[in-house]
Amino acid sequence: MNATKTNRKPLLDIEDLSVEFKVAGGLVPWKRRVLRAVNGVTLSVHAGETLGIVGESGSGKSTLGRAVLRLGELTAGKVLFEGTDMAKATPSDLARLRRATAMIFQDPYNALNPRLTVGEAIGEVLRVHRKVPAGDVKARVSELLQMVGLAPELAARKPSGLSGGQCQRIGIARALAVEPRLIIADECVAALDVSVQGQIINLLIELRERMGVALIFIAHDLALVRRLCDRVAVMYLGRVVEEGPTAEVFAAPRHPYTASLLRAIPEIDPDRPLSSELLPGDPPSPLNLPRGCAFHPRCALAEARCAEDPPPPLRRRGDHLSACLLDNPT
Amino acid sequence: MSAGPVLSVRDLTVSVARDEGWRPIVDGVSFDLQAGQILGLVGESGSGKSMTCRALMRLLPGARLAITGGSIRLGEEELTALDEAAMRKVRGGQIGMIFQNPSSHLDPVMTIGAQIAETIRFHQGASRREAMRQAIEVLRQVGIPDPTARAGSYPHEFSGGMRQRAMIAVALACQPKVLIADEPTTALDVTVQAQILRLLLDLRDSKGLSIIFITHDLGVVSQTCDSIAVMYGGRLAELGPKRDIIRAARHPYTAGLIRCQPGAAATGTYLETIPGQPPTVDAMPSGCRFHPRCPRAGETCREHQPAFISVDLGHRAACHFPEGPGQEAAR
Ligand SMILES: Nc1ncnc2c1ncn2[C@@H]1O[C@H](COP(=O)(O)OP(=O)(O)OP(=O)(O)O)[C@@H](O)[C@H]1O
Ligand SMILES: Nc1ncnc2c1ncn2[C@@H]1O[C@H](COP(=O)(O)OP(=O)(O)OP(=O)(O)O)[C@@H](O)[C@H]1O
Ligand SMILES: [Mg+2]
Ligand SMILES: [Mg+2]
Repeated sequence: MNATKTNRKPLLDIEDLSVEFKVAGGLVPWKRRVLRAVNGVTLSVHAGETLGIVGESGSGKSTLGRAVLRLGELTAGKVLFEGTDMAKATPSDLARLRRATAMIFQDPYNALNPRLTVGEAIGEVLRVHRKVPAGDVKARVSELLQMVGLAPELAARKPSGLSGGQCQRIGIARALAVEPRLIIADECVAALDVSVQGQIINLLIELRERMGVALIFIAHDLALVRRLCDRVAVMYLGRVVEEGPTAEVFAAPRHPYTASLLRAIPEIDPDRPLSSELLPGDPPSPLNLPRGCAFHPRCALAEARCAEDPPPPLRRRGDHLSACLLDNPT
Repeated sequence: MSAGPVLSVRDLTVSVARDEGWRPIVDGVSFDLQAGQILGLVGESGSGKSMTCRALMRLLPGARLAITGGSIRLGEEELTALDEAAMRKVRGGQIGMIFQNPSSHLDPVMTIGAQIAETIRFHQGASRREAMRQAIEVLRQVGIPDPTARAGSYPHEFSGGMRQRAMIAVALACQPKVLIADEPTTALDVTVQAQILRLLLDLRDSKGLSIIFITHDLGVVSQTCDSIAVMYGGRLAELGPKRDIIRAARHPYTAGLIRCQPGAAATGTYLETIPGQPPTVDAMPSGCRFHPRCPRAGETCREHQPAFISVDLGHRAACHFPEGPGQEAAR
């Protein structure tokens, strides 16, 4: 699989992507401030490949996902999908992108129209993309519901009559209805019990193997990322600070932030209490980026040069990149 | 101070109105929550965890849903008998709730800071200025960077995990006695999660806060809870001290949950699941609701609902053929 990958062009190439928001200032509310949510991210994904994105809450993962699929604004950079720069997409490029990609949103309630029944919400996708003849919509809706482990009877319910995990699976069914070649799944199994979670992950593995679907899997659950993803990118404050083959990053993280993430994974061991060793210091603000490496104020290994601009660039060793100035930080 | 439980739930039943009559969604759930205790509530997606907790707050989402049986005692007070005005004082004052879907419980047109300050003003009658000062302080406690500036943000300007933390801040703002936390850390990275869990444990130690903690993450349960309750198909399947549940589960559903943990197998390999489909409210299996999926099920299981009986000290399970004592759950 790897051999074919290297001599093929990636399906998606994200180059130096940035997203900024203007927000109200704190003490001077009328003065707008710039919030840099995504700051020069470069990543690529091949057909049939799964890229995990993990990282701090608020580090820009969802914003990145939305910008890539042009469901949100972007400030600078390129998003090449099958060679076309979607940052400068024409309406017909955008239509092609919509047909070939789908996003599973982090917040399932927000993503569903409260007035539509589940059947209407999934049927709408099938109709817009003309996936099946009008007469077959109902049968296909049932099939999609079963794929995500839901009883077809739920098609008659509205989102308010569903549990959190059921809503989340409606979002997944809607994404699968598109029959996309690229799926960006934003925390798509966070509200599910392990058995249903396993069922969904197995479904994603199957889609990848059978149809070569590419997947960007944004998640906080590192055990799942390890199980599902070929490669993983770690984000901190808008930047990718480490990227590489999943097994390598988990076995030998190169960035101190990655290392602290891996140390904080809660283990299923009733005799091991919550570690009192927390990441020190205040979490940084994207409104007020620290100088130099954004992680240096919380990093146990930081040296004077870590606080100097410009922020450390990603350095490559083999297949594994990390943005830390130190030689063997972890 | 009385030594009884802070919260005592008996035979709680929540039903949905159908043309044929009431259908139970939560069916005869009983448990006690002691002062300073943390009870983990886990179970199948759709098994009724959120519904149970919303019933405790008397906040059922929808006119067709009602508490159709049982009792909920908060100290000496019977909550099912309170009128809406009295209940409003309990909510957010004595019981705080972190809802599973923060965005539908945060007002989209009000800044985060103003929402927290409003709760504080309602329950404590603080001045506008003092309430805002306290609001910023709780935002800092839950790890929102630059809280003075971010208090002025609207919910849509927050990331998923920041909204979740804002929700936690609202629930903690009035220093409740009981906290009901419905999946409070699903949108948080593990380091921020550890920080929130530490905050909750500190509140438990310093203020005697009691917590019902709904989560799917058994790692989080292991690190924080004293006991664990497992729900399946609207009923409690098992309840006991966390060590017993994780090391020696008696109910086959609990054992299945523990077996399905992703673990450290190779990348790209299929995960283990519990075969079969979960039941739905309108098609509940007879007898034990887990029997169609249970490897140990026999004739009795199809016909008779198992009683929720004691299997060990402080450990109850609803199973005709529980897994043997000492038989360690796989893993
Ligand atoms: N519409 C918006 N207006 C202003 N700021 C925004 C907006 N959307 C996101 N942000 C900010 O951008 C930053 C990144 O948010 P994003 O939702 O991408 O984070 P995330 O990595 O997905 O976090 P989480 O893991 O908590 O979901 C946050 O600081 C957030 O407050
Ligand atoms: N208004 C309603 N009418 C009928 N059934 C409903 C209604 N609201 C919820 N339900 C059903 O009640 C059951 C219990 O829902 P609840 O939200 O308590 O589940 P949960 O255990 O919290 O699941 P999750 O882990 O997915 O959040 C679900 O099967 C759901 O479909
Ligand atoms: Mg997000
Ligand atoms: Mg729920």
